[in-house]
Amino acid sequence: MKSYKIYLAIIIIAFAVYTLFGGTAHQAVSGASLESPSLTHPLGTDDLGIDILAQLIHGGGYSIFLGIFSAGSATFIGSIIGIISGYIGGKIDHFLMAVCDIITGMPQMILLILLGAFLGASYLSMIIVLAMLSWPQTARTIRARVLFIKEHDYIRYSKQMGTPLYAIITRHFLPPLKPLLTLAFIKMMSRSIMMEASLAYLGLGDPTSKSWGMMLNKAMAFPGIYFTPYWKWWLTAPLIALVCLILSLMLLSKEIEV
Amino acid sequence: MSKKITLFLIISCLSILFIGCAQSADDNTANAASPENNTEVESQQTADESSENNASNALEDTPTVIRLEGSDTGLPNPFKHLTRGPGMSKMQILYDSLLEIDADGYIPWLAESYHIDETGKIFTFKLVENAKWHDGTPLTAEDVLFTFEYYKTHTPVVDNLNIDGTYIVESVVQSDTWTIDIHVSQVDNTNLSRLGGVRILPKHIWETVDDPIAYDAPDATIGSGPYYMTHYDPVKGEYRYEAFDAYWGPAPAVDAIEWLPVSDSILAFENSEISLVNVSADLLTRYEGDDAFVVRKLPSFHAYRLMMNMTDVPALEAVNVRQAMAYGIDREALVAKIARGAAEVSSMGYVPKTSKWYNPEIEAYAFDAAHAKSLLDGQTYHFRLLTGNTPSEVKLAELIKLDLEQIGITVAIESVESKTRDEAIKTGDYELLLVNSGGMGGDPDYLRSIYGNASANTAALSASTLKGYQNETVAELAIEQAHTLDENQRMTLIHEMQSLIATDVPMIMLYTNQDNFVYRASEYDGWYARFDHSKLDHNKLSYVVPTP
Repeated sequence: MKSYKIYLAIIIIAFAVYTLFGGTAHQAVSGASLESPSLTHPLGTDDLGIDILAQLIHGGGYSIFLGIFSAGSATFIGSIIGIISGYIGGKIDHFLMAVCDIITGMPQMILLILLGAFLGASYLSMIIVLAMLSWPQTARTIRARVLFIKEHDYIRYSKQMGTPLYAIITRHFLPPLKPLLTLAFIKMMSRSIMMEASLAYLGLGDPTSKSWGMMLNKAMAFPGIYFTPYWKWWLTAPLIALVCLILSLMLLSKEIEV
Repeated sequence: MSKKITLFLIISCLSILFIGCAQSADDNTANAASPENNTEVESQQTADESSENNASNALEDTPTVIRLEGSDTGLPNPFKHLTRGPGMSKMQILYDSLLEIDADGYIPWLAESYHIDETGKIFTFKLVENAKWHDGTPLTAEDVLFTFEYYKTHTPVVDNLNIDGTYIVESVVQSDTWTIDIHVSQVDNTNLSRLGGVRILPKHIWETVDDPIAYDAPDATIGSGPYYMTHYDPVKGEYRYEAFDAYWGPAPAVDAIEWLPVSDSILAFENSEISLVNVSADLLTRYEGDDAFVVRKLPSFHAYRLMMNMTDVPALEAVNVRQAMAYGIDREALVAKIARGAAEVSSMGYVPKTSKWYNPEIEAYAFDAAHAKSLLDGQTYHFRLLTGNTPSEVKLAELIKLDLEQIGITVAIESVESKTRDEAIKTGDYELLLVNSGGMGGDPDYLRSIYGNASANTAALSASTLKGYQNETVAELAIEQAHTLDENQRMTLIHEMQSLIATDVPMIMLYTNQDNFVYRASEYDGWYARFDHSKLDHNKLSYVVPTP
């Protein structure tokens, strides 16, 4: 098994085990402020005395599942719209693609900040906002593929035989689209995690969450952290974890693509 | 294998790049700051002659500029500045008052002398004769007379002249060109500070202005202070003041003062982009013991407090719930974790422990979760806690939430921009609210403003915003202490008030920060703290050469 897959598995398993056993160490004060790494706190503690490893495990799950839910929603919306647009065509296709163009043409980060401000910085609103901004790319890709598939004879025969639209989509369109959708899902997941981390780092996420971006934000907000030794464990741990996660997802999508 | 090496190299590079950002920013900004920006600022510190000579020499040689961390705090005139210290102080540099405040008390300023008659109701102020407005017009007693009339119908942001909704000035009589007699409605310990602190307005500008809040013409910041404003950008939060050469009083210490937005105040100070910084306790060792820096540790006269809306939240009307919360919050832990030890747990009677008016006999509310639980008698509650979005406020809210959960009170934290939070204090749109606020230095009459149902001298926190608190005894004591001239007798009343307030717990006083100001004496060493306000950059006297 490749190392990045092991890393992704560790994040998910660690979060699952931690959550199943009712872990609350990521939000409980369990030590003195800013303890350096020790056997009790392998990655040290933050300024509130909360264990950083526990925050990292919880934050990993937070990020991965945020990515899964937002990418899943975006993939679902994008594939529906892509198939409808490509299969039906005409004015509906023009309209849906115009919506895609509008959303794609807008500066994503600014839109994310604005929507986040209106909907609040909760976990759910973050998923909704990320999904709302991510689906057009999938829709475009899927539409292009559907335009190609629908010209096949078996699709025309199916239509002539009176096969319902739902059946055509599930039986004839989805199987060949599956690799494409998987790839889009992984890419969007990576993008969503990055965007959430960026928002949190800028201080626009849920301030009480323990996502990796918010961990970075809080560490960076500590006055003059670079002039203290605390950055070595407080800042470095979430930073490396986040970089590794994004790289792992990139490598995973590359493998699927190939 | 090669993939693993590549992966490792990419991670390492990204990490080093990220962590190294600060250092490269250092280098860039340091280069940008020198040499023309790295101006040497010299001035005064004491009456020491050599220091004064340095100041005057520097003024003659090169333009000297004090640069400070800035943000938009409103148009700096008495009607449009923001209520908090940074807004107030910028306005006070432009506008003079009859009296000023130094390290010990009130000192003559626009009024070169004053006299209080034996009834305590007539205050005679003799004005300096050479004062001018920034546009060159002479400042006379007519301006002072006009100011007191104007404030009667046009309330400034800092409203010191209204007590219990009554304007304290009955009449103002101009006895000669430079002398005025102010008649007040009743004897009050705070009359001198209230009258003396009023910012004098230029009559020739404001007499035609009906709506001062809407007025933003270029002459809306013309005052008589040692500096005049040459630049204000509300979007960037930039201000520039330049020395007023025709200033009547102590000479401006530098050629200009600038407030600039900075992303990180510590880095900005390290790069000499700003002249003064307030650092956390963790960074003190970096500057202490280094002769290049001066460290000033001062009590901040600010306190974090947990406000409770007793009007809209029935559960908070019960004193046992409020007391339980006071016992249930480990305030020592807040000091240790959030303030990193550089703070003191506040007195529940509001008066700071450093004040001579502090009553040490009142209930201390030491952390006692078991007692807190017993006070709640098995009841559980849920509250919404509104806080600002600064890291320290959010962290404070998190710790309070954790503490209160232990005694059966769950809390949902809602973090908003600080101006929104401050607005919520006025509107009452909160259940619990976390805020850091000042105004705790000097005369303890602030107890009347906050707890005694009197009008407040700051709009940030006032009795009207302590939602639902009403204690008739406290209100009566508040009035009595204001009219009691005997200090011992007044001390007894103030102590009694603190005792009652501590029992009622209308808001939970958390802790008072210590300010750790750091500056380079070689750049500028004229920073002063007032006896009632320790922020060095908020003190007008920090920007003028003191008279021997």
